[in-house]
Amino acid sequence: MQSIIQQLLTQLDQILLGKHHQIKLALSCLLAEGHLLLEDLPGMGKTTLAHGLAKALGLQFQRIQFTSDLLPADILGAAIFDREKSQFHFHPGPIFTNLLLADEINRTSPKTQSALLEAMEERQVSIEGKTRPLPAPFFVIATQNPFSQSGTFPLPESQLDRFLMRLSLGYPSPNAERQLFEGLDPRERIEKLQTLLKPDQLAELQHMAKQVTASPALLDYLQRLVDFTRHDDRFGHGLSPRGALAILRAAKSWAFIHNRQYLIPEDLQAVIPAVITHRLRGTTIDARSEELGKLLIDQVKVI
Amino acid sequence: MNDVPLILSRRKITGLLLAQAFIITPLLVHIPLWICGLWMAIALWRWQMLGDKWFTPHKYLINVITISCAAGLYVNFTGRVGMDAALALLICTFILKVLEMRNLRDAQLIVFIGFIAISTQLLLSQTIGAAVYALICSGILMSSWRGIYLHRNKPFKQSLRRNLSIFFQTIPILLVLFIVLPRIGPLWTMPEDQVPKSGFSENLSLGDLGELVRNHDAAFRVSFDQEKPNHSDLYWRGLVLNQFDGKTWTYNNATTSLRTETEKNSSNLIDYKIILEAHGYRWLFALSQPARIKSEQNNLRINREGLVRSSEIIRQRMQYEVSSTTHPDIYQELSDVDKNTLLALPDNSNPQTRQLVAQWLAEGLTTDDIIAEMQNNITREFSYTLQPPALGTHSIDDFLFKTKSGFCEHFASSFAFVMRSAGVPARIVVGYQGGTWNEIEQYLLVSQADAHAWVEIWIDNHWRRIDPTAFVAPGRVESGIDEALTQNDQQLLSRRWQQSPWLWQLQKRWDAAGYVWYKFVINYDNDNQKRFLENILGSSDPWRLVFSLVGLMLFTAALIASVFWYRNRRIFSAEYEKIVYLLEKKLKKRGYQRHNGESVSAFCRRVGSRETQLTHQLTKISIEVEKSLYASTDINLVALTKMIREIRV
Repeated sequence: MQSIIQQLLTQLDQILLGKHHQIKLALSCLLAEGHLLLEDLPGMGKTTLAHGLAKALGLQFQRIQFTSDLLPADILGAAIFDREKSQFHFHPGPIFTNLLLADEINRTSPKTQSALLEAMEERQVSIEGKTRPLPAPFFVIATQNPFSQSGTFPLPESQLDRFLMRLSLGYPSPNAERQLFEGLDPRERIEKLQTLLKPDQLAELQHMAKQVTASPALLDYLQRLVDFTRHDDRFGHGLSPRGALAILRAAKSWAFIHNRQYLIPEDLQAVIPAVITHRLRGTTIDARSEELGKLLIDQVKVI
Repeated sequence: MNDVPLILSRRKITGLLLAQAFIITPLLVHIPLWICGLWMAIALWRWQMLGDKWFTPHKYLINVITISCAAGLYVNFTGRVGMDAALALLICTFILKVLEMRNLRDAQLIVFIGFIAISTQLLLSQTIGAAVYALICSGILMSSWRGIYLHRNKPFKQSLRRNLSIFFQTIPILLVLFIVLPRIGPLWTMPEDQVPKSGFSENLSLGDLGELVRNHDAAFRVSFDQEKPNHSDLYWRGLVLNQFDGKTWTYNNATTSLRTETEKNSSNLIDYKIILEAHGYRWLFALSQPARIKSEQNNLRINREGLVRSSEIIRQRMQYEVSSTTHPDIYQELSDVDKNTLLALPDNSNPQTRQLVAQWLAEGLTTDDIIAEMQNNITREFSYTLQPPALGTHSIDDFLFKTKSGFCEHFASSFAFVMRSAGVPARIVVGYQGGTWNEIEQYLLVSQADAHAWVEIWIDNHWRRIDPTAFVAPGRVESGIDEALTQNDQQLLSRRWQQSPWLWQLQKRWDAAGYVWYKFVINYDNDNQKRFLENILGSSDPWRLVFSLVGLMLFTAALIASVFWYRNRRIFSAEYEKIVYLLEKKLKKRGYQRHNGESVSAFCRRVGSRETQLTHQLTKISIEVEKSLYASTDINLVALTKMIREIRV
């Protein structure tokens, strides 16, 4: 199994150059059955990453561009009257897929946002009194542009909480960018990507990631971390138990990717910036920057 | 400007204004009234400026106010330089600075002026109450000082705790400085016209003392080296009056008398220390007859009347030591001039009395007989009261033949008159009699209520003390004025607190505290310091002092360090912590310290990458530690300890 993971990472590294860490985080997120929020400028490779993940993992892929006039039915689907059969027929929306890329999620109305977020949490949709489960692995990779905020509906904190991680890819390094210029077009790279997983293998991987153990010493560390966010003045409010669990889940996947059956503090430290920054608010430090995560890691005693 | 002036917040300014109010309040009575008004106006103005209700004064306006203040001070003190003028100037500065207080530096300046102003409080009063108040002021000022550096409001309880902790940390330093710093005598003196006079005055008219005894202020306090003498022997002589004009007894300095022969019988000496309250006169008090006298502060002498005199007016509380002979009579040779003075009576006054005495003399009564006759009469027919009836021109006649009731000066005055009429030199002594024993600190409190007057007559070349008051009210002399008065008069004294034993005890305790305060704190001068240092150090050599101070400092530092060590010591809650601690200790010798957020393996990697000879060992250790910590394998303490011990540093 580990060889598959390594192959996955190698392949993904080839479509998104020089973003090894972010790719590993994104993969951990999916293995931990969590949704991912990508926050970045347009053209930084968000779609490429989502596409690549879908292709490599052998998942169905849908993309919705969110606009202000998008309605919940446009995502979930609607029952349409079939004249020939004289009955309503359900047309599933784009959400009925394995991996949904929700582009610029903050452009749409809160009503539509909440329809999506509800589906993310429940992994099923209720339309006209009938509950329809979503396909078995179901991920949402949402993107938003943090810089142009006019005419947007920023996601409230309670809904940000539904994303396991928030990542931003950032500019590539000069080397990576040079390779990008010299090599193939990203679209072509994705097409060349091989599907490495068989249909049930992803579930198996997710199951294995959950089996990673956490020792008492490590749980002590996690508790110290959580406690610190709740008592230090530099944090506006503390981390919720759900947030703490999110760290643990993400860290377990991270450990699994690194072929370890137990958690070490470095696993927590690796995922913390991605997991906590959208759940916390700093009093003096901007939570959007990674400083808050760095502060937490630096200040709290590992042992 | 490089540093951006930090605008002071509402909280900080309020704190400073509050501290200023506390500091200025006790000083207000010592400065011109208009400064009080100025202070209130400016405090109000500053307060209103906080809410932007009133405008911020322009620089020119501040200058105008400052110049007017300077002019006002000049007019007030007419260019006189003195402590009161300096104090008023300081307070003006303190007040005016508030108006232009804008940034941190101004606030600091206010704080520093505040500390100086607090010290002036102690210039004006050195009682225990004043000291406690000054301490409270310092505490408040220190809190607001600390407050101007704080950017966030803290809960009141928390900041109070913090401020108190800072405050109490200064106490040991204060004590050490108090004990070892050289004592400099008072560099200041109150201007003469400002010393409040208290007690009796140079003259004695009938009715003077009756007024005085209603006052319960302390006159002086006495501690005896030996057993306290009997209450009835405690005649504190202060003033001798030898001239009578029919109404008032005064002192005539023109007498020339020969040197007083004091019987220096050392076995009969009684030694005592007196702490005298400032009374604005030159006289001091002593039991008859003072033989030796000693004081650190003032130049004292014993004059020919056996009275203690100071060369300076008593402006401050002072302490002096006296040795008196217990022999009640004083041997002195009187010159003719003296005798004439001591026998002189105003012409045509009190004919009835003169007639009576003449009749007695004609009957062949001796001096002793006349004294006995007077005693008989007084005991039988007279009464002792605080409210004597009014007397006419011939006051002695009126007293002896009509009203027959009066206070001690009535008895003393008429007795002296009778004696002089009989040809016996007599004079009035004014002072205090008795006192209240404070058993808490073993001293005698003599208050204005103990003021008394008695007579000394010249018989057989000796001065003999006769207290005619004792004839009418023996209780006055034996136990004090309260016993001797009627119910009606006692109400006049209005010692209401005496009726409640609890308050009476409290009053005694408070007085005892003030006594101890003076004895050990205010009176701590160079001599006391030397004695004290000799007691604890063996001698007052400078090197001993330096050594013990350094020792004390080292001891304190060690104490503080051990407290910190104890608080920060490691408590191992699990086995693995010992291993980690061992490893950290080992690598610390190499100069590496694990950061808070650094795991053991990261630490080992970091050190390993720099110390190549240790890389292998450290990698092995880090794998073992990681496994035992996080992979739930059992920790192999012995093996790990051994591995860590093997690291060569």
